[in-house]
Amino acid sequence: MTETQAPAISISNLTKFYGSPKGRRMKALENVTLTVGRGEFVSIIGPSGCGKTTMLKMVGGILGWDEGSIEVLGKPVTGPGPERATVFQSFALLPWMTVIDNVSFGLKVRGMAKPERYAVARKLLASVGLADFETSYPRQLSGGMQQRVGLARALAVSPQLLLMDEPFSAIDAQTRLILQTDLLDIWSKTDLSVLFITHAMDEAVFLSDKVVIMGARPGHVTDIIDVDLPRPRTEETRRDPRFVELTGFVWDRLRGMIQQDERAA
Amino acid sequence: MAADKVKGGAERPRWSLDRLVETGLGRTLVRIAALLALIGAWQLAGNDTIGLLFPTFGRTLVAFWGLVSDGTLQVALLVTNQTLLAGIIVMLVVGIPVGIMTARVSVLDRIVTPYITFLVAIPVIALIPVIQAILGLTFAARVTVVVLFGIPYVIINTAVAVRRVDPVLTEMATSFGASRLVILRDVVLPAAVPGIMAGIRIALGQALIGMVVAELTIVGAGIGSLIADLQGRFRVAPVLAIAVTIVLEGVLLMTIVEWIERRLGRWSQS
Ligand SMILES: Nc1ncnc2c1ncn2[C@@H]1O[C@H](COP(=O)(O)OP(=O)(O)OP(=O)(O)O)[C@@H](O)[C@H]1O
Ligand SMILES: [Mg+2]
Repeated sequence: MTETQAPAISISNLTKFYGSPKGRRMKALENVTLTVGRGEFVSIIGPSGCGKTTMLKMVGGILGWDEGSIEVLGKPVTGPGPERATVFQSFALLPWMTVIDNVSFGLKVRGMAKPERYAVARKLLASVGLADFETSYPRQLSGGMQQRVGLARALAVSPQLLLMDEPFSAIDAQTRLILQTDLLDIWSKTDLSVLFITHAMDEAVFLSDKVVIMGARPGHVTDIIDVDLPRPRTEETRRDPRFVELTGFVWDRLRGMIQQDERAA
Repeated sequence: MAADKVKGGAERPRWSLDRLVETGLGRTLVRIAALLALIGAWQLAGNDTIGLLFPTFGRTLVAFWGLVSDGTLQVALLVTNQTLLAGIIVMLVVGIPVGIMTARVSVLDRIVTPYITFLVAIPVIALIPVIQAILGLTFAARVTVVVLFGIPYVIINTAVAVRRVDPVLTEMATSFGASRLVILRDVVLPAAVPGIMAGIRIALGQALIGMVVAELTIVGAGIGSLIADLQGRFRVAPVLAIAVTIVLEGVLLMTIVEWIERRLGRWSQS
């Protein structure tokens, strides 16, 4: 990493309005400024409705904004791009396609021929531990396995930037812990930068180099916390007093906001 | 289903109807038995002493053979099914794209939907004089009736199925840089297949009705004119034989659609 390299993501003064059916405009994000460095793992955490998904969609290039700018690898975002791939909360697998066809979907869209894309897909299926499930259909897999397929599909297009919107929130708590370590394992072997949205404090701290805390109405950044836990992170990390301390700190910040919200409601 | 495997459950009789239908052969046997019972009842309910009375199964069968042996039924079926086939093709070739477009283009939705609602709300039979006035006693007129009977169901179900496609799936495809056309072809259409097939199933049933109605009202061809002719001469048994033939054709059509549905829409079944 050289100093002259542009960051993976650079968001500055981002503001977004949603139009409501009554014609009134709702401010979803206000003046959000945020940087994800190359190879960095950054999590965003914040109360429901604070605009996390909105922001991720804008970085992904599938949603426009009103003010401010987003640059990915130094280039302004104007739409989806081959250097970005998204992993979805509800997996977003195509139920009529086998696992291998799902994994190679992004490559198919980009016009890669079947033998080549299957070869890539096989490699990634192996890396997420699903080599034996090529010909299965998504519904035959557990939630955790389905999201492994979702991850493999995103990685198949060899992105430099992985955008993940609560990827593990629909998965049971134990499987989730395993997916977290597996994700870090895959990430550490690449130079991927990750923007990861979650509602779980421990997940944010365990995975990230940086945790961004957001507040709502309108969505804004309240804190950016550097996670100084050593890597590689293992099950030991979860028992590290510093881990517990950081998780507690994130919770304190969030709890304040949520309680304020409840009083206002 | 597997209740008989539950230990300590109530003892079930060794032979019962429930047990019998659990096996493939058993189901077939039960079906055959039911059919035989129906035919038996029909035979008993019929009365062949006067030609005008409700014919027995035997007399209907003889009448059927009479229609088949001189080729009358085959010729009529051929003509009729030309109408039906042409109608079904038009219905699908027009209905599916229109359904897709009404779901994706809101202007079209506003233009097309009122007419579809109108077609569903009024009995299409009421339109037949109008069609006849415009197209005369032609093949085109009969095809039009078939199409009008079925097409609303194709359009409505296609539009609903396309609208119901999970937006996350299209978002996913967009994020990989898929064009609108690729999204339509690779995501929206396959996702909508089960809904579209359900519409086609209903539409085919309607088309079959439309076919008979067209030929009974816009006189001049096929099964309809054969029925009209026989009815005019009070030949009840052949009319019944034809009716049963149409029912069987309907069953055959549904079986074909269900087979296609199973092949195409396997993924949606669970
Ligand atoms: N398409 C839309 N049209 C109008 N308002 C929207 C739209 N999408 C989201 N919103 C609103 O914008 C705000 C932010 O939504 P967003 O989904 O980004 O929040 P989030 O932080 O991802 O929430 P969650 O944690 O529940 O996923 C919410 O108030 C939401 O109701
Ligand atoms: Mg969200």
